[in-house]
Amino acid sequence: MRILLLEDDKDIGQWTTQGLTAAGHVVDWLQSGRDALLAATTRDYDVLVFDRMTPELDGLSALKTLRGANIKTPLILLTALGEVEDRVEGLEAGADDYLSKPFAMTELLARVSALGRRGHSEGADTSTKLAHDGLELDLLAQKCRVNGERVLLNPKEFRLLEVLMRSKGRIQTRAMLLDKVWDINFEPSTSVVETHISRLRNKIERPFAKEFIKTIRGSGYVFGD
Amino acid sequence: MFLVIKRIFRMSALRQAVVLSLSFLVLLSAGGVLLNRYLTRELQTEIDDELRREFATISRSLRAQGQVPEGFGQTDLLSAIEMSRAFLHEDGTVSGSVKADVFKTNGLKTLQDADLFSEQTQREFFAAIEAELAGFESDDDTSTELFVGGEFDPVWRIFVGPALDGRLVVFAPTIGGLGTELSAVISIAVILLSIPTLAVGVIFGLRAQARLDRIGKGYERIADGDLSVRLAPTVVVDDLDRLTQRIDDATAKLQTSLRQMSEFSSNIAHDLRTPLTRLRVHLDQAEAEETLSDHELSSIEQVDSIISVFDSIQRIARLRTGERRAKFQPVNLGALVNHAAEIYEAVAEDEGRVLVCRLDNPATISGDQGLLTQLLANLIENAIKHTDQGATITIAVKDRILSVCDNGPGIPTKERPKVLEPLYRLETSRGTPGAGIGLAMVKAIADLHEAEIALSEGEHHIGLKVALQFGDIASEAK
Repeated sequence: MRILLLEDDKDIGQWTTQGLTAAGHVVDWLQSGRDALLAATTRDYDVLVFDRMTPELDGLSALKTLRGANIKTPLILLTALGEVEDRVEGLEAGADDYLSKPFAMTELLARVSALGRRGHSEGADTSTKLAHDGLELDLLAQKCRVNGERVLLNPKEFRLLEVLMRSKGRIQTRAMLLDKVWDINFEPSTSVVETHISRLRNKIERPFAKEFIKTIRGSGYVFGD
Repeated sequence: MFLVIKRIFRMSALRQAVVLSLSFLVLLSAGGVLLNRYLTRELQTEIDDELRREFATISRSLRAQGQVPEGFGQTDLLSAIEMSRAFLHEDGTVSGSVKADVFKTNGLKTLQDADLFSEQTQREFFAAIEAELAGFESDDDTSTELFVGGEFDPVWRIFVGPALDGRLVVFAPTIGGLGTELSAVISIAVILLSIPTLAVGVIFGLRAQARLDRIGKGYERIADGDLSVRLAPTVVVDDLDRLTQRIDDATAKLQTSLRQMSEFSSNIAHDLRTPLTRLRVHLDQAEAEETLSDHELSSIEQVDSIISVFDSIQRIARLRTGERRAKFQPVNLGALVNHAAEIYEAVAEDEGRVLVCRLDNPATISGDQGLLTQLLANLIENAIKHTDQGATITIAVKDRILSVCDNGPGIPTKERPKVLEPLYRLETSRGTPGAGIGLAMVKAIADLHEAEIALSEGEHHIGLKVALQFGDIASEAK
């Protein structure tokens, strides 16, 4: 994917560019908000990654200008302020995701790939039945079957599986799952995600000797692949 | 009644109004009394002058005639109400209706009825008055009452002196009656005036009191940390308004310096986070490039926990500004607990604890769903961390009270207020992982929601119970 990165800090900019490039993306890295705004309006990018506080024009204002000009390229806002309030402000200004510094590269990669895909297949993901290798999820009937056998899931387990299946092959980090499944925007000090993933595995994997969910050490989970 | 008065006297404005009204009435009465006295004296002087003139006139006319005429002093008694006379001859006989004793004095004197007239004359006198009054159709009620009721009890002013070959007395009723009448008029005036005066006083007092109360309430909110409160009215009229303006100025300055301080700490936080972020990035790169030793992996963890503590400090500082109140929404405490239970039931079970929920008429409060979830999560995670295997954690809602209770080791009474401070940790829990910031965050979120937080023992005097009492949704909405 083609990514525009706006980041004024050299170390972080370099590291981010390296990380994204290593994952196979093409990165244009700019250090001033004005340059980034110009680039975003004149070239076609799959995902924009803007730091919130940058010289000349800050990332948030650049974002507002872009959305005002009806440019809807998916955008991830990076910030040193970890406050939920800023997150809300960022999302209201039109950001598609929000990541507070410092972040792990896997977290950024997971979010970039989620957004990039959404950008290209908007509205396509409305199917009410998900299936993979004998695992079927009927979203309307809220029913789950493995090899045709009914498995009882509680609502949150169902939602967790749905989120994982929808992003088949892409990493879902703990933070992303907490947000999407439990609507939590802080980091719990207990292993909330691990516990629920392990419950889910006990229901859909262990009895059928299958492996749907893979653990990516230190970053998150991926379904299928 | 006594309590009402006591309460009124605790309201300074109302008290002043009442005291002012009462003083006005006292002054008015005093003025009336003085006026009464002054008028009486004026009239007295006038009567005395007239008596002297009359004496001189009669004396001259007697001298001119050379003798006391027949029937002197025998005028119609009723006319005596105006002015009358009598004469004491050398031989001790009296021409007129007065007692002989009257002539013993010299000059002016004040006498009662009985001292002036013989009993016979008095009787005739009153009989005459009554006869006269019977003739009236008594359309003049007051005079009738004054006379018949005996309230018209004239006091007589006399002037005695030598004339011709004897002594002459001239006398007239003086204004004992007028005095009481005037007092009556003044008393009625005072009573009539006192009602509107007190009423107006109380109205003004109540209005001033309402303003004071408004200022007091506003100041309470300022004291509670809401520095956006402004007290002064748009139009400044009096010194009270100017006082509120000064309070507003002070609050505004306080707000500015608090904001500056918060910006300052936020800038420090930003400046410190950048090198931390770089450090984290370098470690991340190192991890990507080669296999790290346990020491190196543990330093990544340490950096992460430093950043997480930093996050919390920054968040608590931001919460204290109260900015987020603007985005409050109705939150049902029951739904909040169910949500938290969904998240933590399995976690608690895996950790060997039992999570129990008890909902009793859960109220809907005005708040921030995300923050309240975090508050509850912190309390539950705290309870999981600080209890032993097999412990029971009870989340309960009763009306507006949300509580999390465990049966673990608890917190000693003395330490309880301190655990709500940032970075405070019990000696006994130094070794437990996690920043000592969970309860401070709980406190900050509770404060933001104006919820009272109380730490106590759990059931059967063991464990810890953290209870939050939320305010009324109506009072928070305004």
